[in-house]
Amino acid sequence: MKLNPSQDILSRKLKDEATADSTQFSPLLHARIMQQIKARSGSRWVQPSPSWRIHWAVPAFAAAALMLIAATVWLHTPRTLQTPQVSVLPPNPSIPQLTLQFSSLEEMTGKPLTDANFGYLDRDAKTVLHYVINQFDVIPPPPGRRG
Amino acid sequence: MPSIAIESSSDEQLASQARGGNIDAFDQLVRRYQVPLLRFLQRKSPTPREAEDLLQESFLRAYQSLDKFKDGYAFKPWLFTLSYRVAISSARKASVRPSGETVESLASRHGNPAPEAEKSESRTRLWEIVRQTLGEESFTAIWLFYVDDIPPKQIAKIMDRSWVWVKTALHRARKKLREPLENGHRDLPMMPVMLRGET
Repeated sequence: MKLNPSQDILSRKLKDEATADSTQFSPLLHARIMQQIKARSGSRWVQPSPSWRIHWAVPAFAAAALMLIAATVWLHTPRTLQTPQVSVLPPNPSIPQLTLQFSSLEEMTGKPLTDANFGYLDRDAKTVLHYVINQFDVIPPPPGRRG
Repeated sequence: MPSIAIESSSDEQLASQARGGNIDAFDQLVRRYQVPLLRFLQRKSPTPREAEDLLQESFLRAYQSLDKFKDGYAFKPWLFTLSYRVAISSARKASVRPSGETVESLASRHGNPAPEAEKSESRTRLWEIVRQTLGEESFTAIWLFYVDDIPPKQIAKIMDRSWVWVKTALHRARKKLREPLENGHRDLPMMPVMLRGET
């Protein structure tokens, strides 16, 4: 804030009168203040008292004893090796054996080709089969074939 | 920390060190601000003894609140803010000085002053006139500005008032006090009347 000369006089007089009293630095007051601050300000500067240590020693000792007991019990507990559990699986499914059983050749060829087990063969296979069959005289011709 | 380093440190550096537990740093702050803060509190206390109690309470609260003091801010307004609030709180609790009390009644209450005390009181009479003329809050703003050299913006923070209010209070004070003060102290007994414009 800028001061003009008249305001400067005002400022000077106010300050002079404020600081012209008998207030001086008091070592006693200073010591009293610092003493009160140290006494009432907690543990920032004050060393922990023995009672503080005793206060915390009881739960600390109890916790240590509890941990020691737990460790001792754990060390002396017999440990058994666990065998792995094998699960019983169901038996494998049996694969059926596919076999062609012919009681006789007559039985095999006694039916028309279209009704027989070879009906699924194609035309060429039928032709070859007829040729082979016709080579044997004992085998009667198929019912659908005359002459 | 060496004492030379502490004495040359700024208030803010000392506050930071005190926050870390350095007792010597806070001791130095108490040493620096004992007199200006005590003068400030003496104006707000009926007796010097109560002013000393308020000073002690102010420093105690300052120490306990160091964790709230942020780096980068000025320590002096912060300390005066705490002290001002301590004084206000104390005034609310205790029976404070009646608002209509005059300088004469104050003198008579303290008995017949000795010559030295009378001389001291004549020096402080001006401030009592300021208080009676402009009111308690304006008195505080003017004191902080002229005596403790605190800028108006920081005074506003200390007093929890607006910056405009502080500027207005200072302007009113200058306007009302300028002419009587330039006439010298012989007009002091009449100053309250003059300042009120009741001549």
